[in-house]
Amino acid sequence: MNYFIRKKDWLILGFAALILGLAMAMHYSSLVRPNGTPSDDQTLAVEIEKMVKVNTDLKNQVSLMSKNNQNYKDSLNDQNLLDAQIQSELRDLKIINAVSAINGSGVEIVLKGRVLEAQLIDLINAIKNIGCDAISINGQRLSLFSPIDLNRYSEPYNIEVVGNNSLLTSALSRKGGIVEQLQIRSIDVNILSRENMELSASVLPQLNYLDN
Amino acid sequence: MVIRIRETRWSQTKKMQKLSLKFVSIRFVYIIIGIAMGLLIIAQFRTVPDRITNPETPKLSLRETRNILYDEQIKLNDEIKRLSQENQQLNDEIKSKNFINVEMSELEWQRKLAGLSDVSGRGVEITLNDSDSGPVSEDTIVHASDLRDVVNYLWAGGAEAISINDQRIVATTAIDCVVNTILINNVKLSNPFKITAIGNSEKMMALLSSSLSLSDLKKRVKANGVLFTVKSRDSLKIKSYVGSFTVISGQKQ
Repeated sequence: MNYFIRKKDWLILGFAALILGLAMAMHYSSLVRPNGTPSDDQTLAVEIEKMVKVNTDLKNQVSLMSKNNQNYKDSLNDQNLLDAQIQSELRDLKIINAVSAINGSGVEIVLKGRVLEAQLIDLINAIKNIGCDAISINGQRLSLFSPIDLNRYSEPYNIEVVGNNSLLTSALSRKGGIVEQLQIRSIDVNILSRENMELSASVLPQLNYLDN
Repeated sequence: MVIRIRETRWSQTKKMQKLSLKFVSIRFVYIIIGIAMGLLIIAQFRTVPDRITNPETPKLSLRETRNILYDEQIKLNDEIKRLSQENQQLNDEIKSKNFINVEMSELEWQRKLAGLSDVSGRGVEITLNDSDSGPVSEDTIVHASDLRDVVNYLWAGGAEAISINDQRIVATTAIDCVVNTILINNVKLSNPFKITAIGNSEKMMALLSSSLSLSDLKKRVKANGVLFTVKSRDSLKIKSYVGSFTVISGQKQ
């Protein structure tokens, strides 16, 4: 009698434990599955965010190039129109090449602290990524050929950027962005929005190695 | 006899007590399991959302969006290439119509400076690639920051034109990473990265090989097998930037 009860009890206990185990597994999987792997979703979201920006830039490029080409087509048989078109392109290229001074709205970024060259390179890269017309560091205009060399500047680093000031301010100061990264490293960063600023031209180096 | 009967009764009572204790303990275990199952069932019902949702849907949606954006990107880049070729043809046509004046030749020079024409000359060729030994880690792959540093040293060494995997570095170029790829001029690039620079090759080689330059990259080359080679070349060709420039906020003085 005693033996019978014990065996029956163990069987019931085993069955109950099995059900309990299954219930726990079901509950655990229901908690985990909807979230998926957070890192996958986050990676995809970051990739999409960047792709949206890239595609917007590309669309702007297409629009600009189409307009530019159309202007040249329209001016093919008109010397005056052609001159105006050439002047317009020349004006933009001289600003891009930093051979002419520029004024306009933008931001002034003041860095104080122990700034590393790599950090300055990253900051200038981030500014270019957001988009701007011209950059200068401590009054020295950056051209395509200008390296970022800390020996050329002294602290505080005053970076002037001509561009969309609201976009530059918000993009630079976004959470987890370049400014926050610098502040984490004990660098004092101050972004000042400017309605009108003036950046002088830079001196182009002599180009001796380009054949064409 | 009486003692024996008493002993037997006493022993039976003890057995009964043991048995009832066992029953009590088994019931106690049943009650515990019952409560646990009850709690789990309630939790399970509460976890299941009222609305029917597919947990994979958000991820599928993200992947679909990425694919749509990627297709759009390819089409837009193709369109930019076409417009760039059209622009070149228009320029040739303008030249053939003898419309060339001082401004036109100045424009040609400014375009060349900005990276809007193909160039050639002597210089250096650098290859950067992920390590092929050991497990993949932050230290075994080439980062966008490595490319930025190399490009900065090349400008410092007097480079006159630079490209990375045929993407010309221009004044507006940013070098960034997008997940496992590097984004330059809105074009995704993957390793190996071939950096071509036209300029004073001796000066560029000397700067790149200096023990003071690229310390982080060189440490990973030594310790983790990241590939970094620099070669001097007598003849190099660098393609033009595919795109155009516009000034939006600033005005020329």
